[in-house]
Amino acid sequence: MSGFLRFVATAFYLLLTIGVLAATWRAPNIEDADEPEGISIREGGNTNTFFGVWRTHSGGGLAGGK
Amino acid sequence: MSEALNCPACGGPIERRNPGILTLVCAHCENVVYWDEEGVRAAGFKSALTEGFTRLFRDAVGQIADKRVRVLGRVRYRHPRGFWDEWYVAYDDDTLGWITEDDHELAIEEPGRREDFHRARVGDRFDHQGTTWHVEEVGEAECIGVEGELPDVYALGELYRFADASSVDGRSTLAIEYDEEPPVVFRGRWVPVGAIRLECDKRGGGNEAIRARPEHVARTVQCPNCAAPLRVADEATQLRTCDSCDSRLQLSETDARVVGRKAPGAPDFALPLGQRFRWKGHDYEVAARLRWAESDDSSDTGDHYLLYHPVAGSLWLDSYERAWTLTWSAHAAPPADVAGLRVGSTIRTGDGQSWTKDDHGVLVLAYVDGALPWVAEVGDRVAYVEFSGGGNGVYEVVSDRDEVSFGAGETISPAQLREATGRTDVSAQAAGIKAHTRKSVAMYLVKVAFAAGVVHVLAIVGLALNEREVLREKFSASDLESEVLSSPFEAQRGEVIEVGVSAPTLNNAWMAMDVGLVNAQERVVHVTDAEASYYHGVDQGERWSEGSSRGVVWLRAPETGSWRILLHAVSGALESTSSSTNEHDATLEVEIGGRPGAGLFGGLICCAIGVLVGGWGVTKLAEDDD
Repeated sequence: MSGFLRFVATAFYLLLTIGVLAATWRAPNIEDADEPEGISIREGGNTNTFFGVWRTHSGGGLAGGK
Repeated sequence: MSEALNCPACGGPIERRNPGILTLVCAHCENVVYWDEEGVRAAGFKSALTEGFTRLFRDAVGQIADKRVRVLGRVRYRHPRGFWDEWYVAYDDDTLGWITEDDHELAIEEPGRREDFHRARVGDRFDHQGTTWHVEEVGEAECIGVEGELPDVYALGELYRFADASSVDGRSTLAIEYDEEPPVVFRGRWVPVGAIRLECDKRGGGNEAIRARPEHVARTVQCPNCAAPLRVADEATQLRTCDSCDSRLQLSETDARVVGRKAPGAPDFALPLGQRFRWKGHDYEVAARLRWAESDDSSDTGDHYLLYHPVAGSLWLDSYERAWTLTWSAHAAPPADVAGLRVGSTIRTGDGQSWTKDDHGVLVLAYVDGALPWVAEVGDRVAYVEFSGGGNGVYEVVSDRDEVSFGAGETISPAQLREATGRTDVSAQAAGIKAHTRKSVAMYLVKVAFAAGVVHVLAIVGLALNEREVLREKFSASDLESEVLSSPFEAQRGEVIEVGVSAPTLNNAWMAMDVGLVNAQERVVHVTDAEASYYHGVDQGERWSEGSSRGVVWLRAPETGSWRILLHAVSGALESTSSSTNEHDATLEVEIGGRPGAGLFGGLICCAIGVLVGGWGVTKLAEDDD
């Protein structure tokens, strides 16, 4: 019984540690570049309108609302 | 080549089948006959031995482990803790050897050899012929009887010192007899009692058997004090308490004598003497009950029950703090000085098994009744060290001045106890695990959680050390509202770029940001968004807050080079859901090498909970002990 409890404790913390380290290392919320060629910030005529133009074309972006 | 003679005592025919035989017990008159240079002569005494536990006998033929044997004779020795039998046997390859039968254990031993050997002490550890040995017992033995044909001259009452050792893996035996210098050393190996298969055991009897193997019959002795008949099941019994007058009787081969009276007031044992205990197909019976108390706290007691079965041998059933364990004799040795180890320490016994230390201490015998294979007295002290491991396994080291013994076994669940005893009153009170084992488990939890926590902290520190700030730049609210391009910074291909935007003036408000990663050619290679929101207030007198005034995203640099961040932000207050303006200044913080570490912090909290729960368990159980 005690051996089983020790096994459970060991397995839990081992899996927790491995899982957390693996998740941190792999970090799924690190974003890779989605436009390898890039879009000129001059798109739309000047630097102040890039996100507006991009939003119009892609439907993305938060500017203008949550 | 045998030699036919007549017994010098009774004249009956006797046969000496091997010229190496120097002692023979006449089968007709039981007188002991010697051979020496002058011929055959009577020793002047008779020798009649009771059956041994194995009920081997002279001329028995059969298989013991992997050896085919014929039994030639037997010598019985008494030592302070009982007696043992040495069976002299001939193997089918015409070699000779010994089979030792001691307290329901068997060992096959090679013929002894005289060797220079040091005087061993209990607990000594030494190397001999490539094996590491551990001395389990030392003492003085007295020859109390002989039977059949033997290779030496034995005199009743002859005394000699001995030491018994086991290999640390528990497989081999080493017996040292200090009868003269140099001593005789017998090397052998442990074999299970079930390894004996005699011809006469076969259905209908074997052709080679001269008699049937005797059935086990409990003997009856008469109490010398009150004349009550007393049943004695175990042939190795040395101490029997009288059921009628409470006298303590020391039993010998032929008589019983009173050596005192049982301590008054039997404790409230959970099991009575004679209680059936069914285990692995055998019906054991409770032969003796002992109550032990911790030497430093006489109220801290535990009960030991000796279970006896005429074929399977004996077991110890222990009850302590409502938890029950069953143990049997083992010979695999622990490392030296396990008593000095801290509770929770891990050891490996010589057979490779791993154990965790649960407890240690000194026990004082407070009460004993029933039948025991040694003469126990109230006040006897033994030191013990207990371990657990391998599921519900237990391992223990018990020692006194003359002997150290090892026990292996398992924890008995309440359901197993009910099944073994048929008693629900006992099993209903039973717990599955001992309190000090629970304490050990709690301590183990503390250690494991702490170790995992250390790994988490190291990972967090490692991440922090790996981070380097490459840009910190302040922007006004209006700049952010109209889009702004940061100063350039360098990043290597594949490096993680942490983009943080802090707006410390956010107060019950939110800020939504568009973030673009811009390369040296002023082209946006990635667009994402981030959010910062911070709310607080008072609810029913309780202060609360949620969120953060910092938004963060992590980007991976697609190439090595110079990069900039294109940033646009709008903000709103409380419940507003849209905005085209921004009211807050913010600072852009760019770090290289960082990674999202929320998981690490979450893991660290789990580790802290484990340490706290385990620590609470240790403290609580320690308080219960007090």
